[in-house]
Amino acid sequence: MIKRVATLFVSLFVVLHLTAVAQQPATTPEPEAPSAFVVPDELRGGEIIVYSPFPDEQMFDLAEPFTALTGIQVRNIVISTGETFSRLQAEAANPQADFWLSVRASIIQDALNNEPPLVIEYKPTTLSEIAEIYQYPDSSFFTGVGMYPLVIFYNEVALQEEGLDVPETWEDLLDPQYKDKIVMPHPSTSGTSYSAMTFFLQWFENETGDVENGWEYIRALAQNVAQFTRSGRAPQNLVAQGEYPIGIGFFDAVYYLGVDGFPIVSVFPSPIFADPYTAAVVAGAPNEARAKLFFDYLLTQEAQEVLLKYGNYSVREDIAPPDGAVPLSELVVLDYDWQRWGEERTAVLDRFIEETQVQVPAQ
Amino acid sequence: MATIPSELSTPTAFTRRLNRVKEQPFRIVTLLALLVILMIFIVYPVSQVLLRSFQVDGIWSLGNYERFFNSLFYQYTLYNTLVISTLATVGALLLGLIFAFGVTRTSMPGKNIFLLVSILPLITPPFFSAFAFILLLGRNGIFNQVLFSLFETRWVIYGWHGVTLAQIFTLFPIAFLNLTAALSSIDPRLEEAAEDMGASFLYTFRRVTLPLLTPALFSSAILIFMLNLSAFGIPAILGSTNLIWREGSMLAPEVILEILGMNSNWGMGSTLAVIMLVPSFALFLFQGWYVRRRSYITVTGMPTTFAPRPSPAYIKWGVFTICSLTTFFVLSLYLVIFAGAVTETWGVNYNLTTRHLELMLRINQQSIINSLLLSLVGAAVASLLGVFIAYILTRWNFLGKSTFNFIVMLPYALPGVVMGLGLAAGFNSGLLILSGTAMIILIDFAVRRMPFGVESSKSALAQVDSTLEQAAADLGANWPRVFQRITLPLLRPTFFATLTFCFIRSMTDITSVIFLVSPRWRLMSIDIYNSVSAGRLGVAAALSALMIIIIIAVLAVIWRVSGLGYRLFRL
Repeated sequence: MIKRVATLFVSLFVVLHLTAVAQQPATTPEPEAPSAFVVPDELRGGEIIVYSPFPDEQMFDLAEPFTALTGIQVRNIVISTGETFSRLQAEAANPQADFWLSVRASIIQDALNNEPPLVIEYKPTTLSEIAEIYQYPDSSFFTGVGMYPLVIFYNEVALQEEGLDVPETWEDLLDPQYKDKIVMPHPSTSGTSYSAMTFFLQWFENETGDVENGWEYIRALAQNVAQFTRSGRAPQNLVAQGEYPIGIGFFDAVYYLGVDGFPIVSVFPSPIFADPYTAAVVAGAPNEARAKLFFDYLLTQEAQEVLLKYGNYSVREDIAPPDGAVPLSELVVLDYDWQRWGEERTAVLDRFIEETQVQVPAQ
Repeated sequence: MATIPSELSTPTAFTRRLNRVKEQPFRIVTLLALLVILMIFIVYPVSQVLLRSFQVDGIWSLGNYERFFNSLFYQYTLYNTLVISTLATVGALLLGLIFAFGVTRTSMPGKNIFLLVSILPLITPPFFSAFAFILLLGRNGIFNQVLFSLFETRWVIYGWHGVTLAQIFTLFPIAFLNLTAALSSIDPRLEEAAEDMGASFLYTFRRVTLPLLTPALFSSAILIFMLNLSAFGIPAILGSTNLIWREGSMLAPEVILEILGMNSNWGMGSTLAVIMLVPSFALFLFQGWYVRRRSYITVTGMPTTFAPRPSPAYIKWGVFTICSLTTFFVLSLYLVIFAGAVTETWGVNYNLTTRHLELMLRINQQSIINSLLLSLVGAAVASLLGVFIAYILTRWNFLGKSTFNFIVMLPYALPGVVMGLGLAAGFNSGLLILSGTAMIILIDFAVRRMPFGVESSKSALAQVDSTLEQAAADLGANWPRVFQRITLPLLRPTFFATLTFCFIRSMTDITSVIFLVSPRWRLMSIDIYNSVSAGRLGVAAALSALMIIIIIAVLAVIWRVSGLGYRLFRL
């Protein structure tokens, strides 16, 4: 009996496999090498190891044109920012990785201040190709690689079913009708949420001159939040499946679930948090030169078009925002002091728990 | 075997003693080598977890424990874990008992199908059912769509009830297999005698069958509870919200989040792991004590050829209904995964597609190969080590044998996170750097599964008469030759059963390897977990389906090669 079932499964799989292979494009089109991105012959071939929270699929697509251009294989592992930091610390004497992709500038600053430094300062050779606002000429390590704003998102079907209005602004979220309808991550376990909280603080401080008004907003918002999830990406998944009608989080995951067919829609409130993420070459990387080359590549059109596919706003001016995303020119981007919020982390998290009484341990 | 005349045995006894003396240095070296290996790969990693739990920022401190006992969050987390584990254990025992009773004591139809279904959860990744629950019972699942169209209401699967249910369906087969074996060895004439004297069915069941089953129920309960306590996949996927103490979480996901999350706090993560270790370890010690005691209270252990008298019709059909419903449900879980693998977007667009399969073959190829390879090698090492150590433990006498036995069995009591954490912490610097290698994953697989190999080989060896080996030794064979030519072949069935079990467990493990995977050595189970976290349910379904196919294929091969058939699962 088992044998027959097994045979059935195996043959089923073989058939599926064959269909899958048959439908794959026969050849990958050879991308044209862009002008500012030069591959020295001595760096061709080999491999680099990348630590990144990017999902496998995204990393794979991003690496493909790079490998085609340089012959360098990219190996990755999906790990969070926090774990990358501690892995790099543990491996400092004997570095295993070459490159750290998608990380906030404040964290890179911490990594540079670590003893020994975990990353090196590097500005890509392709820097001039990207928009000026993302070049950060005053910083020796911060270069915008990609950007996704912090948005409000909702499940169209669930919202309608529950008879709720579409929330248009941050203030709308305080409306009593949304009580226990909102899901967002907890700042002590999610960088996304920490960005959101400090964004609120910065906004009210810029606007009213008093950061306490920001805390008041957070307190009121917490009243309507049904759940602070542990993971930064959980709200998008939960809202996509309709388990909650409304969520707060980064746009890229919302965009991608939308492409997948889920009835999930983003709202772009003003002001908006729109700081780019960056990347860094690991200190003592076994393949430092190749890792730098990868950094250069990330700003090229090829790389940026892949990032676009995954819901990133490009840092290049020649690539329009993702479908359905509001261009930054139509939004009020908040002037966010990333250095300050990097330094005040512990204080902000302690205060958050005190204010909201949401018993998730802070660091 | 004491029938050998003494005048014949005297000279051979002398030769035997001589042989033993000649072997002495060899034995000492073997034992020492084994001890060193056990110390390095079991005791040292565990000690690393303990050490780290007593450190804050590299300084000795009780701070982590203070934080645990001062924080409501952590206390709620502990309560949630204990209560949900208890509920799930009781549920799994009940369901297992009903299945076992039905198969051994009634004449209900479809027994073979029920047996087959009971194997399925044993060979699937534990998080698989959680994931299938979402597809089946989630908001977009078939169940809720029907419910909503009929009653305008929905049943939310996320929460303590979802975790409990999924754990029950994952673990009830353990109770089922244990209880089936126990019920088959209880002489049905005892029950018949009670009924002949006028006892009702229920009275007989309560006063005769159940007491006789107590040892088996008890040992199943302990094992299931330990597995519940350290469960990660299901709580991580279904338990993110709506637990009994709403402000708390559950232990295993917390350990992993604490270390792999944003804060990457090894001290606190280790502390939570130690807290999880305490009840697990206590139960392990208790079980050892109980098993030793058990031989006195077992009334009968002899297998019987008497067919049990069929139970009353209402029991038979009641049990049959429960078994059928469970079977239907378990099968739908599998169906849903296979369907999810070829469905465009589950819950939104049910068109057929091969895109998830294509994506999987493009992206996860290396992980699939790694998982298969490392699990097979790890299982082989675990089984060989198990047989070898069991041989030493049953056939050799040496000082400190019970301590040796204790260390060998230690990984059995260790939650996966503790072992994984210990290996990751212990081998990322210093003399032996293993992080980032295949070796560290292999060691994890081998060490964690070895106790099962030892246990099953021990009971198999107890049945092999040592005179066979003595005869070979008397004929002049040295010890390694005896082991290789006599002992090993006799243990063949046990070896294959252990191999199968270890392979399946290694393939599906997440909790410990999540700390050990690296860009060069990624694993399929972690890829599935990442896909679910990233909301890529289609790819996760494709990977899960493939994993089950691989496991069934490997099972079929072992099934065939070993000639054991269903006995493979009698571990």
